[in-house]
Amino acid sequence: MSSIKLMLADDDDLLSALLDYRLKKAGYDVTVCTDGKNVKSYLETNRPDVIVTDIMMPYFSGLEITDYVRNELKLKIPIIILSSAGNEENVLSAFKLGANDFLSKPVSPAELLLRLKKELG
Amino acid sequence: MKFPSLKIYNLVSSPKVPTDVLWDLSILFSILAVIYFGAIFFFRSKFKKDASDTASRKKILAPMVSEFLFYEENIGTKEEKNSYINRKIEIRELIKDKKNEAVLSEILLDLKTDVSGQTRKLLFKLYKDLNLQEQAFEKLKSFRWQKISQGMFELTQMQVVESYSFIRRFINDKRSVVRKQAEISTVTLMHEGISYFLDTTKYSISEWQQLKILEVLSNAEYFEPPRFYKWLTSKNKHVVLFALRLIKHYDQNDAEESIISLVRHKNTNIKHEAISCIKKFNFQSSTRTLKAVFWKNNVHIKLAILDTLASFERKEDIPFLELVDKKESNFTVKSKALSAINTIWPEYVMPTDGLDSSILEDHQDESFEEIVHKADVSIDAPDDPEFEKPDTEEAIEIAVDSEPIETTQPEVHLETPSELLAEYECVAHFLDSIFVNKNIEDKVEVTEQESVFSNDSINSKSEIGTPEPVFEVFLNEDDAKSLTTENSDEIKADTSVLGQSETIIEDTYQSIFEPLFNRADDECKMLLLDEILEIGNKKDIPFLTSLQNYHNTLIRTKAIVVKAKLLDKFTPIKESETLPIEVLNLQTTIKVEEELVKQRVETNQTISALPIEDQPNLIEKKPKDLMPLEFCFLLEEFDLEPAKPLDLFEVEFAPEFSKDLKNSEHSSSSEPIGLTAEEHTYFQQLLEFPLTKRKKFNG
Repeated sequence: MSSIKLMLADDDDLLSALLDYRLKKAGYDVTVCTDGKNVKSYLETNRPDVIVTDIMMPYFSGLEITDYVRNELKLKIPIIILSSAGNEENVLSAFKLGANDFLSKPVSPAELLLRLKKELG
Repeated sequence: MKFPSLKIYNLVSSPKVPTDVLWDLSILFSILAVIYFGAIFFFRSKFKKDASDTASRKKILAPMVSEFLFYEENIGTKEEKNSYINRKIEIRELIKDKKNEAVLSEILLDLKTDVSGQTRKLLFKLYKDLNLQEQAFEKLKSFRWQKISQGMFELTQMQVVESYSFIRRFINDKRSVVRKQAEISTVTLMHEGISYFLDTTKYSISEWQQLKILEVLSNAEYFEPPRFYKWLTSKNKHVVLFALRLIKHYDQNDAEESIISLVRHKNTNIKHEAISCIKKFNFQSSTRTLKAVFWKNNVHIKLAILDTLASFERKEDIPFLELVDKKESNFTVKSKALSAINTIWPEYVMPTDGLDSSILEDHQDESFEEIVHKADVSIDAPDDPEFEKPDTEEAIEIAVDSEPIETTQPEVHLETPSELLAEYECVAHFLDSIFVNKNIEDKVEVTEQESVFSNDSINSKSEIGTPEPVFEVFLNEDDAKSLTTENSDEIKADTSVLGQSETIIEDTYQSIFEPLFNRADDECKMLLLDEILEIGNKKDIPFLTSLQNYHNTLIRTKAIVVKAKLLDKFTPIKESETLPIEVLNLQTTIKVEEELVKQRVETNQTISALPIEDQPNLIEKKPKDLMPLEFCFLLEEFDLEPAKPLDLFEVEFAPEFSKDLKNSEHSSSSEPIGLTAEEHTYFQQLLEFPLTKRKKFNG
């Protein structure tokens, strides 16, 4: 059974390293991108099964990436948004643009795993 | 001949500067510039190097931390276990280096903000396992305030409970940053930290700090707050204030007496907070204290007190609120008082300011028409089956409710325009004169309205729209004659009540100068007082009385003088001047009442059905018998008698004969002079002829 390809986009090195370790341990094939530009370049050549992205990132925000994936690439892959700015406006914008789930920081890795499982069926 | 321009030229010439010094200075500044830029470059590169070094260290340590955090002892294989043990040894070796130790602490602190749940707990455990708190404890021993604060922050973030006793010593530190961090840390680390902090702190607690501590307490798990009333007796007023806020936050309403007593505190913030608590916990027993302290406080406290009284919704407080409205000079407080009254009793006070007067006039017309219409209905009352025309043969029954006016009942505070009141007064008089056959109950209504409006009062205190019968008296025809004496007790009892209401009404006169006065400056107020003296009337006296407590001495004195002069102007000198106002009011109302009763007796008096001839006094000359005045003068001038009405059977005699006849009539003897008895009989028959004929004609 091939592992699930997961793209993790977060500019926080420590958190991305922590989640990377945990997700890999859970069996995911994780690719970490630290800014929006990397995400776009990765998505041009790769098709992950699921995207976990932060909102606040250099070059392109998580919301822009969501919009890019949904409206330009026309991909229907699950997108989970992580953000420390979990205000109503951000949450609503994320869901309007087509995000599947929203997690506020501080995030529990265990909870993230459960949500991923749920999104991937 | 010398030209002055040369001298000027000398003055503007360049000063002599030694070029050697210039060169030296140039070299000095060049060296300084090199040093400056060199230092910048050095430190920049150093910081860069440190940052890259830290980043590289982080790259090494971060995966290790992840491995430690997500290691599951039960699930892991032997290889994983071996790897974990090796990692542990490796990391212990690494943290022997102070830099690595600092970086590891930094990593854990950063991750603490990013992760939650079980991972966070593991993070705290790892921090303690690696003995990273030792470094933080070292920081507490430093002399530098930033180091101490950093150490306390680190220990607090990593929830090192053992550090509590070390940190709490800094609560009364002279350095505010250290002190504030110690306060937060003490409260965060242990649940009893808040008690220790409130017990020991000697310094002020800023608003921001209070909010921070409150946030910490709110986020604390399984926190059982202590009874904060214990700190209401603290010597530190900031502690008292904070305790009050905590009491309010945690709904601890077990300190009623203490909180009420704090309303008398000198500190405004404490007073305000205590009032806020009273309002929240609905301590209605505080009403007396609140009213007592009201006048001594500033506007904000007054507003808070009024707000609290409004929240109690006690109708007993309305008189106090009315007093505030009357006596308070501050517009905001007055408005709040009225608002509070309306909160307690909705629409007790009606809006008056800024109303369109033309619309009001229309309304007045309507009301006037309505009243006139009512009067018409009363006149046509005999058509009404319910209306009983009083029978003159029957006993006159005057039914008046004996219930006295309920003086304790909250009174309507109507800001009725004077024009409307004048119309009401006219209508009241009109009704008084028309309701001849109406029950006396209606009379009492009108009289009551008269008593309200007769003095042109603007603020009506009684319920005008729904006048209640004042008393009930049953009178027979005979009793009616002696009503004033026999039923005087009842009337007196009632008039005392009426007197009271009248006194209340008098107190509520609103001077037309009052709104102007309230908006004017002191100079204008003095001018207004002059105007009151010139054109003022009785209505201005209560307003002048209210100025006797005015803060400005000049205005206060002038108000007293003006009031005295006005009283002289409007009060005639009589014996009543020596009597107290209450007695005067009573006398006035008794007189009014007696007049009313007399009037009622007259109007309802029985008139016997005797012939008109038997009542000569009652018969007056008919208009047809009267003559124009000019004609009377003419008759008098020519000494003529007015012609009698034309009678068909009247016989005209010659003037001479008529004169003789007239003389014979005026003479005392029955026999006319110069005529025999036969002649007289003959003429008598002749004279009576028309009368007999007339009688025959009439049958």
